[in-house]
Amino acid sequence: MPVLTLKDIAKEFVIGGGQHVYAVDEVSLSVEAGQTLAVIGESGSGKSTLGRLALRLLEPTRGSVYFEGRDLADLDARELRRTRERMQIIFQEPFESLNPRLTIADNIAEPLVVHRGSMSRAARHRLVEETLDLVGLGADMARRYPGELSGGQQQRIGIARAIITRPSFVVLDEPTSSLDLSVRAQILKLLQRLQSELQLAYLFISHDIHTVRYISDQILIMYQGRVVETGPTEEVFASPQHPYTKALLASALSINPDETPPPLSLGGDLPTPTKKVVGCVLQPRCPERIDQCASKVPLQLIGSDHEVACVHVEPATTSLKESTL
Amino acid sequence: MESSQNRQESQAENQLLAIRGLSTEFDTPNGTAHVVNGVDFTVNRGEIVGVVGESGCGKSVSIRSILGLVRAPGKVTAGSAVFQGRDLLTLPKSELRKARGKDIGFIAQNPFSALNPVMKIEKQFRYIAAAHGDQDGEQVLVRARQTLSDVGIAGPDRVLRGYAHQLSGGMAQRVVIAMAMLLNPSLVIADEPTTGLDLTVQRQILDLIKSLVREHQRSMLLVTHDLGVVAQYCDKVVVMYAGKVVEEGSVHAVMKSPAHPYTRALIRAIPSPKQPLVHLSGRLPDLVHYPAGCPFAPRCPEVHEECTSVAPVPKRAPHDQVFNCHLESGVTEFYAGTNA
Repeated sequence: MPVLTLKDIAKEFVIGGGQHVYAVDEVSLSVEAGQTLAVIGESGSGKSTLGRLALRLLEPTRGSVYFEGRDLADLDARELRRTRERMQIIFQEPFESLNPRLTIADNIAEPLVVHRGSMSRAARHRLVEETLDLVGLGADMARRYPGELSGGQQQRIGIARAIITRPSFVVLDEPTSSLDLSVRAQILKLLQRLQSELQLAYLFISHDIHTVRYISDQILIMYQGRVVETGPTEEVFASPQHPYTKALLASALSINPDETPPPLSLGGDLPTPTKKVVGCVLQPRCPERIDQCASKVPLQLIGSDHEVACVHVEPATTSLKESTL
Repeated sequence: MESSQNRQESQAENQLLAIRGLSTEFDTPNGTAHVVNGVDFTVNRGEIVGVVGESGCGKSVSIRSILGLVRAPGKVTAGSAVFQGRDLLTLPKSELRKARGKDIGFIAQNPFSALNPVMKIEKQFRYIAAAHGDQDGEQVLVRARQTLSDVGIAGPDRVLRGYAHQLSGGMAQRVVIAMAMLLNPSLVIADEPTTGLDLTVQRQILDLIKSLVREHQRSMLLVTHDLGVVAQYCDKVVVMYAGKVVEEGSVHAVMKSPAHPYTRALIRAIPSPKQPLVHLSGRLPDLVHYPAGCPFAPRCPEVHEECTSVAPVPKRAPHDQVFNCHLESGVTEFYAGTNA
């Protein structure tokens, strides 16, 4: 059973002038224990909103969130709070997300104050030290303040705070984007080690293609609030099907000067998110646009669990579809 | 002897910008921070040179230093930056102001802070031209329209009549590029020109900048933290660490056979399915108490005794790049060449 499942989830924001922003539009996904699902997309694609919907930090306009088999909408406030102990988030800006006036120990212990109020001081202290050790920091760190730490150390603190209640599911919202290259590598390795030691399910939100390919098992490509393609990471990288996926993956430039990237296929800019699009969201920019693109284009299964929303893609035979569903 | 002298002369002729011994310091409450510490590099005519390094390496401050844009508590304390035969660092302010914009075009990272939010785009083009003595409004407008269509803007008049906030990030950066190219500069300096843009727009902008530089035989200094941008868009690369150039050479040489341990560490830190991820521990040295030996020594996987006490001097590696390290460059091929 997946740790987390989103079913046909949608989120619309009402902005001034009665306009709606269609931030997330009918997205379904699931994340298994010990696995990483990466959500990749450009700014405004709805990937961060999706992460917040998964934790129910935002109420969905439509659709459901199932955590460990239970619909979060069925839980009352007390049950929801107890469930939250097992679902956590790590943010992009480590410093911004830590309280600068609390010591490292108090920052890390904050979730315990909320979720395990009855825990003794000594037990809390032991757990903080244990967790610091898990993220590769010494116990001497406990009495220091966030401002004294480097960006990489601060992000380790952010990770420690997220895992101290031993969650089963963690949303990582661009956890390495503000870090320098050499530090980014450390944090990625740490996240991988923690995942295998604690059997964590990760929803990894990122716009960095190199990072996503390295860290994820499954990948979900979002554009304008919709999923255009999803599947096993290596399969999608090896044979991207949607024109947007092709363009997005081609935007990751190789560091080998001999490997020149394929020519640009997408022109133009991202469209405004306040317009409800019936057909394919890529239409205005797509080089392969045909008339059919204007009508509804659902995700179709093309491989074992590789799905694409494009009229040019041949769906797999029905028997295959049924056997994998 | 004579031929080598000729070669040196023709080399000097080919140089558009030569930076030598550039040092910039900042006064801090803890003492003087040596942010740029003896930087040397050259931009030849028609060349695109990438300056790469992590935050705090001094790449942006180096650029600001040669443009005369360093403000107190910072100051340029040593060195020269000879551009078209004149040292930008000793040029009178009024002369430097003339060179900026006209001979040197600048593209900043964030187009929305480079553009004036309360002034129509058209007026901003006129201001640039007027600052360089061109008062003929009609003629400026004709040229502004031309440069805007050169940067791929289909309806230049609509953009000229509007304000910056009406533009998307990609369009705004195109406008900034058009402004940088308006007076036909021989050198373009771009500081992380695509970092704030969406992924699928980044390549459009980089392709555009490169073609505008190549078409008019301009030179470009491209500051970036992205090694992919260096590999795909630059001819030469300057790798900086802690205010110093650690390696400089052709993109081919540096990216495929990096000689300096720091360059190698940077390349190995990029996640890739084809190689194990290697990280650097430790952090940048304290720039106030600048280390006596190599600044990378405390983090260097190949450190040995003299590294911590003696500063290395630049030497040439087999692939003709220059690197600043005590190690003999026994590097053959860094990786098989199949790396992504």
